[in-house]
Amino acid sequence: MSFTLDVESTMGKHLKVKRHHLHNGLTLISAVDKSAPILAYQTWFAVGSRNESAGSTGMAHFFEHLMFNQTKSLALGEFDRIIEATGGDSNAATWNDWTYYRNNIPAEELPMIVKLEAERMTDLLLTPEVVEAEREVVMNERLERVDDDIDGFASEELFRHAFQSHPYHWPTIGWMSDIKSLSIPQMEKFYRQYYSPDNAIIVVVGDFEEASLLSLIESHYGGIPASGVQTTSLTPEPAQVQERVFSFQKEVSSPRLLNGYKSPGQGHPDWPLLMFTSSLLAGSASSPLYRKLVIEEELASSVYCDLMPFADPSLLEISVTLTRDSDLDTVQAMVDDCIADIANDADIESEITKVRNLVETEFWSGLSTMDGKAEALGHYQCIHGDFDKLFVMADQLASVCTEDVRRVTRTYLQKDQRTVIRIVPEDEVSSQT
Amino acid sequence: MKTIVEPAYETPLVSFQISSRTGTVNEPLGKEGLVCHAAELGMRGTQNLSRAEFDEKIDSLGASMCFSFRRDSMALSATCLHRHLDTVFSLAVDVLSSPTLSGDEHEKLQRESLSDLDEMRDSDAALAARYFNRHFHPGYIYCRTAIGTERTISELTLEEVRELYPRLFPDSNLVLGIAGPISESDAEALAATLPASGGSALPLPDLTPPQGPSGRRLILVDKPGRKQCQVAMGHLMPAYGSDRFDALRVAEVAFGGMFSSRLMQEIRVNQAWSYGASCNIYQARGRHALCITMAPAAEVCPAAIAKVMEMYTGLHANGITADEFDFTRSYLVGSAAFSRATPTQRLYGQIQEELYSLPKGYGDGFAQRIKALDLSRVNAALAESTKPKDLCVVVVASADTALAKLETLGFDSVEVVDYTSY
Repeated sequence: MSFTLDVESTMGKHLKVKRHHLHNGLTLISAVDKSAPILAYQTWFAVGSRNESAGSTGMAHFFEHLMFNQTKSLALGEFDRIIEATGGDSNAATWNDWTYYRNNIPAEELPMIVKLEAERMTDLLLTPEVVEAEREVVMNERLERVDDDIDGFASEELFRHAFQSHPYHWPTIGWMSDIKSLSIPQMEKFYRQYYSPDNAIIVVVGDFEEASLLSLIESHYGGIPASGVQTTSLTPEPAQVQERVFSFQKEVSSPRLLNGYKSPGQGHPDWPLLMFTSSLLAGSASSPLYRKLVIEEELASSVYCDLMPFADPSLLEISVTLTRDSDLDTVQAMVDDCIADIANDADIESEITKVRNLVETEFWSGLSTMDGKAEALGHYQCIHGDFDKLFVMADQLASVCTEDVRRVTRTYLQKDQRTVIRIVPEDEVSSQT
Repeated sequence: MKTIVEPAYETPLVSFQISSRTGTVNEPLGKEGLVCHAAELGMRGTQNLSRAEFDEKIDSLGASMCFSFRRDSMALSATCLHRHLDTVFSLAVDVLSSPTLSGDEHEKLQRESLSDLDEMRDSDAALAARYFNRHFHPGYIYCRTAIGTERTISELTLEEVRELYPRLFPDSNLVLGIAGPISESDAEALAATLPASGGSALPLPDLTPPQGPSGRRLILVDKPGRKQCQVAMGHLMPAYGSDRFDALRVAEVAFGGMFSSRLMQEIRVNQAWSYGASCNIYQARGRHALCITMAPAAEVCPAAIAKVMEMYTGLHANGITADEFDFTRSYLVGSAAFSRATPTQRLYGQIQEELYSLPKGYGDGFAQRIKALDLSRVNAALAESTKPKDLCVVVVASADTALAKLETLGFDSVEVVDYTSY
């Protein structure tokens, strides 16, 4: 065997997680879980929209579609048919920092899925017929998720304006003009560069024998050469020193308000503290922002606060859907007041205990399925180079204190570091920076 | 009351569900939204805790608790860490047995529900589903909206809510399910803390559908500025658990339940008209709808609808092929393991059997029943149950650009409604 085992850990009460490396750079994370006769098999590639360039945005997402098509030995549609014939399902997701391909299959089908996944890592065929058909599908997907979807539109605008140099500026699905113009030579170059064993992590969770898995992986992936992919050097986003506000008129029943505060990447020590703070702000019915805007003042029908788990500095988003006729300025002022209270003198000791329990429940809820376990392991390995950071993160979240929350609130939730998107159903539109 | 336990010890999480055979079908005509409203109001304060105190208590335990609704059933569900189970369960008991049902919260909830309607209207897919549900078989009890309309929500009275609430979860209608690190005896001890309800169960309403409309009906839900159309089309089908349902399940999946199915292959792969195209037969105690959905760009919407109607006519006339039957059967038999993979999935399957009065093990026996089917039964069920000439077609689109082209498809009736009208 040409594998090296470098990490063993425990997930839950008795699930052993192991990490192996193959000689060509392929990383394998495995966890045997015999609670059901199925398994989750995921392939994570360290490629996302961050690896694209202006003029060719949407490439990684386009590949998410292309990878289900023709290979040297698989006819068009055969990949899906083979998996569906077993009762399994297959899908994929693309984001800023990664793309992953997931399969949920009956346990006895492990040899089949290893063969299929190895095949499309190295022998994908990019024919004009396939590419043009998928181009239309991707354009339709964009219409559905962004152009005719108010929340998709607002989110895209938030990142477009918040980031001016970093690739987080463009959406994962890509600009429509780029989707229309991506060429096959561009795609082939992208494929050879990024879809290789030294840029991939395979995560397998489920009912299998470890020795069989290692043997199958070596047999099917061992002959695929590394591409020598280098870490992309990205232009850092310059510090934001002034609030940016943009308003749009759309066909909506309810106004929307999005605030995006510049925040650290997930590997930064402040990330878990800020994550905790976002949950404290609006993560439950009794959270200060939800209680104020939705329950007490009835100015909003929903409030969410999310910190993006990105590799590079990103955004903490506060999104509010207002009730009909509510005033955006009034809601913005209340959001600001709530943040100021937490940063300064509000008594938040009881909130700290509450959020500790909430994040613990969320942590375990995310690991309730084999697919969920594999996704968590794959994300942390891909972003941090170490799946074990998943458990470190859980420990960090459990030890956050009041002073941590106050400090990160003062540091990051600053007006001059935020971008504001306002969606209004009325006529008055203004745009200012 | 029935208690079901699904022990699981891998994580410290416990999920429980207190389900009732009461559902939105129990609402009188003109009172749509009453069941949802009454149940939600029950979460907004009890005799022991104000609404704010109740929310604070649930959140401080890191727990979640909510009501969910179906046509024929409803449930109070919660998830929490095992160390907090007794406290969270006692809060659920309070919700069921001693809600405040205050006038202030009643009025506040009415305003919130109206805002939720506004938010729903900003989603074209949700709009298509709402209007399809209203129109697929006019006059049928399942075509009433579960969340209500602006008028019905505004007219709900506190007296109506107080009268209904004790009858939502009567003992005779209850099923308690618990999944997690808990023994059967501990679960029974918790079940014993549920108070005996003084209310009598609401009678099961008549679920016989009226005579359905004939012909192909287009309901165009007019929303300005759409670049894309959300389409939902279908008609009434047999009930979940009925003799033909398993055979129709095979046909449904072969036609639109997989990536390899006819709809995805033709509409997405061959024509590239829509990101997705699928069909689904809704599961309920009574007969419910088959619904085909897709989202083509505005300029190809008429062609996409025409193609799907042609395909559906072909499905009715010719059934599925032997290859499709073998492939779909293989898929369904293999996929059964995935719907029973987690403790909560297994629990919910057992609860559903109880709520729909299905034979014990009905869910677990799915794969065996599918294996026993043959192609002739599937195609006979299709021939009897599909009505390609009597389709309800709902399209969310901009009428100024879409209507004229859609009218060329030869619908027997065309109705244009404003997207805010319902």
